[in-house]
Formats: sequence, structure tokens, C-alpha cells
Amino acid sequence: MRDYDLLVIGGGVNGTGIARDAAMRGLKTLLVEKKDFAAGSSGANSGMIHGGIRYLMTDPQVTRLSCLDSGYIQKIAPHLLFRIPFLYPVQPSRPGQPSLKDRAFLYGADIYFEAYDRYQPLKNGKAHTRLTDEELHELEPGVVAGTMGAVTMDEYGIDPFRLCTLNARSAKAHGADVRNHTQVTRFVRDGAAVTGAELLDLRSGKADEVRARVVFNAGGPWAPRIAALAGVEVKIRPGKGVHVTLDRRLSNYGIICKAIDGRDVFVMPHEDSSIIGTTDDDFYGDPDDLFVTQDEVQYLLQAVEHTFPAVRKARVLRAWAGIRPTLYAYGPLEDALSRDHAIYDHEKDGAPGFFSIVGGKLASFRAMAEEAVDLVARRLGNSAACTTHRVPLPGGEAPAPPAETLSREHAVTAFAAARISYRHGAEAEEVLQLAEQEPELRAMACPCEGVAFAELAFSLRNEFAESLTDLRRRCRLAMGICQGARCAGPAAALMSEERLLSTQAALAEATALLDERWRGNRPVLSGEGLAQAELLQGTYFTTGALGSPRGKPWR
Amino acid sequence: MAGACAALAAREAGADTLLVSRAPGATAMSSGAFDFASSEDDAPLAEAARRLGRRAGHPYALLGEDLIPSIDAAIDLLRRSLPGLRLEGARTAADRNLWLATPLGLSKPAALAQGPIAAGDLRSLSTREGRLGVVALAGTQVVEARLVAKGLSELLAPLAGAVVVAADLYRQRADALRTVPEIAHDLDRPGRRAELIESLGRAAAVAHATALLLPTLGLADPVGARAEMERALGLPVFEALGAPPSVPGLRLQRALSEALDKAGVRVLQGIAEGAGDGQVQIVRGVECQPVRAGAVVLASGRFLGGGIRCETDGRLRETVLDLPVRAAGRSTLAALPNEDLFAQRAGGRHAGLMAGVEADSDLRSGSAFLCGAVLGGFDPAREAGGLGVCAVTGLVAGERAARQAGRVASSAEARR
Repeated sequence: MRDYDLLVIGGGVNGTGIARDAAMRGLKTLLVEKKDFAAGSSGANSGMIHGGIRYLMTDPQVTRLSCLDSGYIQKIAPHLLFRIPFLYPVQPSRPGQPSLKDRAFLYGADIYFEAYDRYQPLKNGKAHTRLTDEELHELEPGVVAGTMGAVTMDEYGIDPFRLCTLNARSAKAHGADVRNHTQVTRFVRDGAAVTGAELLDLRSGKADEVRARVVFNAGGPWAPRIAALAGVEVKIRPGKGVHVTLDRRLSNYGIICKAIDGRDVFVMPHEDSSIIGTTDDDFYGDPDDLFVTQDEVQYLLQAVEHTFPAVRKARVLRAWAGIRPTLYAYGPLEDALSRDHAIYDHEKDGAPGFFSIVGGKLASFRAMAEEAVDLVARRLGNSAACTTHRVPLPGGEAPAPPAETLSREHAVTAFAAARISYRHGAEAEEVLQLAEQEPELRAMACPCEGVAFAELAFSLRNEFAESLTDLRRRCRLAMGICQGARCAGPAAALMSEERLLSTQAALAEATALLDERWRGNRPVLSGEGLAQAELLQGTYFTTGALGSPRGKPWR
Repeated sequence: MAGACAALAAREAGADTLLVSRAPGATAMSSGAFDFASSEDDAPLAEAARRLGRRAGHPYALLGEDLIPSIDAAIDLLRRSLPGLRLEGARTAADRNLWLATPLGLSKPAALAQGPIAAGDLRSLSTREGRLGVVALAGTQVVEARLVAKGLSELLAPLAGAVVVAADLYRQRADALRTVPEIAHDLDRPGRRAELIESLGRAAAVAHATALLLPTLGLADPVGARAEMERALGLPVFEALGAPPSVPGLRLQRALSEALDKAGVRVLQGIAEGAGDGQVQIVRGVECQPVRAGAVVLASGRFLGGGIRCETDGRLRETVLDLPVRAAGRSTLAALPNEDLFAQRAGGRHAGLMAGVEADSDLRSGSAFLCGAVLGGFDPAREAGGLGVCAVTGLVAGERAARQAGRVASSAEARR
């Protein structure tokens, strides 16, 4: 049985952030995640390290913390962040006839954004600007005509999957043990104290037991279940958030739009697609069984169409949902719930040695992890200072090499070089060196997203990827316009080589990846999406004979 | 496929035939194999087709007693019309399917296949000792060949096996980015075939391969390429099925065009749409040309071909004549989640993807004859009846349309 100072449960941004911080302070740390890093809420958000302008009125501390931490994240993972200038067009309630109320709203928006300007320097953002209708259309002609103008603000996007993976890698580099696809099935107790856990490796089926002086529950929407295993209650108010991915960058700006119920909804560029988000509805189901309804998709599309009509010309690639583990409150509407976080020491609940963290935002994960580890460190008599805001994440140590250089030196397309450079930063060169050593790895596994086999191999060898869906999260495999039609087979072939899988096991990986993609395609199947679905069916199930009875039918 | 077969059959029946084609569709992306029907117990084509014909809504169900003779006729039509492809496999519906290696290392049943592909029938290869070399030329094939070889080893055991044969024809670093169609074009260049043969000879010897399965034999002349390679290497040579963008699919499309030309079918590139008088008109750029025809056959495909479209509100629409479209009895695909339309798993049976126009036993809806994927009701992915179904229904629709056109012409003559 292995002994640890700290066992962290949950491989989302909080769990990986805590594990990294603790390991960097010299605590002997184990991180376990029952699925994969960022497989839950941390991978199902808008992919923004935003300052939380929405919370300025009700939770200004959340806005300040988010902005401050956004600045730190830019320093430790500069390659992973990208600036998104946002436009907030203001439309009169009656076209062409702005009322006094409309004018007051625009004036109010201007003042509100000015208040937000105070926090912008923390995250290297620019101060807001007020635009006339003409200026707005010069920047973005696709916005509906006849606005009263717009207000701008600066935010940052990020690949949340890579953020979590890099946290986990950094934790490991600092001495932590990291185990994804591993579930806690039971807590070990010494009297009332929680002193460890029984773990089940979900891929091998093997169980083992570990001891830890402190156990930290960072399970996000699963936190109440994990807490229940320890016999304590953690209450959250789970909120379902749905996003839609479009096949193209509709605009180089994020655009804030009004939904039919007056809520703010945005469409923003993300990599080579656009993301529309989000809904916010109380959720009473099983976080392991999320699905999106067509109503939710139409609500989001309608909201954007109201301000940006061309959205209907884009192909909707998929819809996806996540659960916000929001702090519990009875009474407020979902949108009005606090986005603050809470850390619970369950000693007072009769479970000493057991802690939980819930709530919070992606943008402030590092600061929340610091707060959590401060508490743990005090308990364990560790006085080392937090350095997660100074020490770069893997790939953030130096500027990413220019894509043109990578493309020229490694004979990959400029597009692939740019994507690899973004995803891997200073490590991009190391990724492509694999292709120099093993020439077949230079080929493109996923042409839509510029994923070379070398990148998949790098991830399989260095980033705890155990399945094609894990690779999807780390490298954007199958996240492009064909949704796996071109890459599932080739990637399964590589997986088979790297992990010495049987044909059956390799094809099961391909099937799992296609199933995962299909889950997001189903609610949005229309127009060209159905042609793409037909092509995928033809490629894998007609020509490939995937899923057909195995063996030799001719006998 | 359906449109070409309909046009060829109508022409053979004596009709003056015009084929309006917007663009290559699903046929150009097909694998190189013609799947009419199959069953897990490897029953003859006729038996497998009858079983499909018992499924409500399947196009074979509409053909009744004509089903098996129509399959025989379709096989004959394809063999006669596409001589350059040297189709091999079934001669009649009494025969059994070939079993062909797929790009995933599995086996796929098909009644007919392009000659160099059909020669790699796994049923036949598994009955004798041998070592099939799965050739990797460049690009992703190098990685994929290992998976295919592993899968084929299981299928060919115990007498035969499969190994990877890595040819060194493409040695430049940028060659890794080549796709199969790019390699096919390259192999069509003068001198490249000889270089490939030289490279294959070396690689096959190293791997001790007794036969070779190549990802492509070029686009233009695979039959000639195969013969030349077999002579030079002293080994049997086969071509693999193609996944989109499929070289055998592109080749098939080209062969169909040649067959239509040879048969005297006029082909017009353009978009067909309904005219107010129940006829069709052809839109080409800004021009709109009305067509007077004694019969109209709709072979416009499903979603991939563009014959059926699902609008953003979920409404299903037939794009030429606006005929009613159904999927699982519904005219819209809206209000998901609905497991009647789309299964939860990608590999499930998706009624939504089998959308089509419902036809009567004469393959008609309204005034038009229908064939191929626009008919709906069949699932090539799970029934092993795709291109073959298109060929059979195309042939039947073409023949019946020709008969109707003949009647129309006769009555017009009589009126004069």
C-alpha cells in the first residue's frame, strides 16, 4: 500500500490545479480521475479565461480573482491563450426607434464596462470602447443593421483540455503520481478520520488501496457523490450549460447577443470553429448521462440569429453539455447564482482529513488551488510557498516556435504546424522531432485539425492518454468538420501500435471515438450535417465493415 | 449509380435518354465493390436479397417477383457496360458474395468488384498457404497497414497470414503527406509503375510475401497495372477497397460516364428542378432549360447526393420535384432526442439516415419513377446492400420509364 500526503480526487481544472500546486510544494501527492482529465465540467465550458464581467455587480470578488488569475495563467501558459475581443451590440427594442429606455441601457452598459476596465490591466486586457453603429459594422459587417452601437471588451480563450492535461503533467514532473481512469470505490478510515481510499483501475479492473494524510474531493458535479462515500454532505446547485459548435469562424470577434428571454448569449471564435453558449438550467439528472435537446440548440441559435443572422448559414457541428457545480442556494434564478467557490473542511462533519472544493470558475482555478493547498499545507505542517503563478506549465517555458519555421524544418503543412505550435508551445519542436525519428509519424492523422501522428504518439507517450477519446481531448482529434470520419481508423491503427492492442481492441477504440462524436452530432443533425453523417456511415460501417459480425462468414 | 443504370437500361429499351447530373455523388466515394445483399450465414445473393425484401419499406420489397430477375439483369448490365473495370464475382443471383478486405482489416461482402479488387477474395485466399503482403506506400497507410495486416492474419488463419510490406518508392519527407488519390495520380505518370515494381520487389522479398495487396494501382488502368506487376514480380497482386476519397469510386464514376457516352445517353451538367407543368427544367448558371420527357426518373440520391435535404427546421424535402419524404414515418427530423430516428451509438440503425420518398410497387411517386438512395428505406451500412440496390432499382426504373415513354410517344403519334 502506498502512502501519500495528499490524495486528490477529480481530474478537472481544480483537481489537477491542486495536485500541481501540492506537488510543487513538496507534498507527496496522488491525483486520481475516474474518466480522463477535463472529461467533465472542465472540458464542457466555453473555453474562456474570462474576467467574469457578469459578476461585477453581485460578486465583485469573483471578477477580481478571475482577472488576476487570468493574468497569471497568461504568464504560465502563454501559448495556450488567445485574445478574443468582444462586441456587445445594443439593439433598440423596436427596430429603428430607440426609446429612452434603450438609450439609458446603452449608457448604463458604457458605465458598467467602464467599471470593468479597472480590472483589465490584471489580465492585459484593453479598456472598453464605445462604438457607433457605423464603427461596429466596419469591424463586423455581419451584425444586424440598425443597432444603437456597441461596447467592446477584451477576454481570452483557452483550450481547457490541454490546461488540465498540462497541470497533471506538471504535477507528475514535480513528483506526483497521476492516475486517470481510476475510481475511488471506498474510503479507508482510521476511526472517523479519512486516511486513504480503495481505488479501482477501470481499464485493467485491478483494485488497490492507498493511504493519504489528507484526501481532497475536487469532483465538480460528482463532489456530492464522493462526499457521500465519506459519509458527509456537500450541497451544490447543479446547472446544465449547453454549447453549440459551428463549422467555421463566423467572426474574429466574440459577439454578445440577447436570447428570447433577455439572457446574454455569445458566439465566439475558438480555434477554427465558433462556439455559441450557453444555457443555464437547474439539473436534476445524472452527470454521467448528459444529453442535449433540440430545443436547447434552437434557443442558442435563435439568440445569435437575432444579432448575427448569418449564423443560420453555418453548419452546426455538434452540441455539448456540462454541469456547473454551483454553490447551493435556494431561491435565485440560475443566472443569478454566485460563481464564487467554497472549500469545506469536513472535520466538523465528523470526517477529519477530508476536504471538498465546489463552485468557482475556470479562470480562477489556480487561485482556488492555491487557497486549497494553503489549507492542506497548514494541516500537514508544510510551509513552502505557492509558485504556480510563476513556474510555467509544460510548453510555456519559452515562446512557441513560429509555425513557418516548424513547417519548413519538419515538412508538415503550415496549418498543422500552427496548430501543433498552439497546442504544445515550446514543446512543438519535441513533438515534431518524433517524425524525424519515425518518418511515418509525419503523416496527418486528422487533416481537419492538423493533427500529425507524431502528436498522437507524443500524447500517448507523455500525457496519460489511454484511449482515442483521451487523444481527442489532448490533440483535438476528430473535433473538426468531419467529426472523426477521416481520423478514427488511422488513429486506432496508431493506438494499436503504441499500446500493442489486438485488432478488436483497436477497433473498439475507433468505435468509442465515433460514438462519443455521434452523441454531440445527434441533436443537431440537419442540412449538410446529415450528408456528413451519411459519409461517415459509408466510410466506417459500409466500406470498413465496422460492427459487422467478426470471424469468417464464408465458412 | 442508380441514375446511370436507369439511363443505360432505358437506352437499351430504346428510349431517347437524357441524364441530368449536378455533380458526382455517393458513387464517386464508393469503395469499388457492389453490394446487393448479404447474410451472416453467407447465403447466396438471391436468398439474402429475398430476406431484405421481406423488410417493410426496403426497395427490394417493392419489386416482388421481379426482384431476383432484376438482380440478374443488373449484374449483367454492369458487367456489359463497364468492361474496363473487369468486374468479377457473381454472374447471377444464385452465386455467393465475395469477401473483401476492408481498410480496417475486416471483411466485407460484395457480389461484384472491380477486377483487381475481386481477385483479393478472402474466401479464396484463406484456402491455401500464403503470406499476403499489405503494402504501405506513403502517408497514413504506413500506420494503417499494420492494423490491416493484423486483422487479415486473423481472417486468413490457419493456412495463410498477412504482413506489412513497406515499399520505399516515396522516400522524401513531404511524401508522408500524400493521400491515396494523390499516389494514384502519381502512379499513372510514365515510368512510375516500373519504379513501383522495383520497389515492391525488394520489399516483398524482405517480408517473404507471396501475394500483395496494394492501396492503389493507379486511377487510369488498374487492370493493366496489375497484369504488369504480376508478370514482373511473379506474385499475385490485388488492389484494396477505397475509403473516401476513394480511387475505385472515382474510377467507377469515370467508367459510368464512358458507358453512358458509348450507349448514346446524352448527359447534361446542371441542376434539375420541377417545372410548373409537372415536367422538369434544367438550371445551368443563369440559364433555365425546360425538358419535355415521356417519363422522368429521379435518381438524385439521399443527403450525400443532394436528393433529400433536411431544412434547419427539421423538415425533410425532396429537392427536385418536392415529393413527400419520410423517415420512420415522419416528415421532419425535429424534436430530438428521438431514438426512433437516430440510435444512441454511431453504429446503431438510424432510421433518420434512411429517409426517402415512398414509392409504389411500380417504383413511382407522383409522375416520376424513383431509384437508388432517394427511395430510402435501406441501410447500406448494416444490410450490405448499397450500390447494388441502386443498380437494381435503377435498372427497373429505367426499363419502366422507357416503357412509359414509349406509350406516351405512341399516343402522341396516334393523336397526330
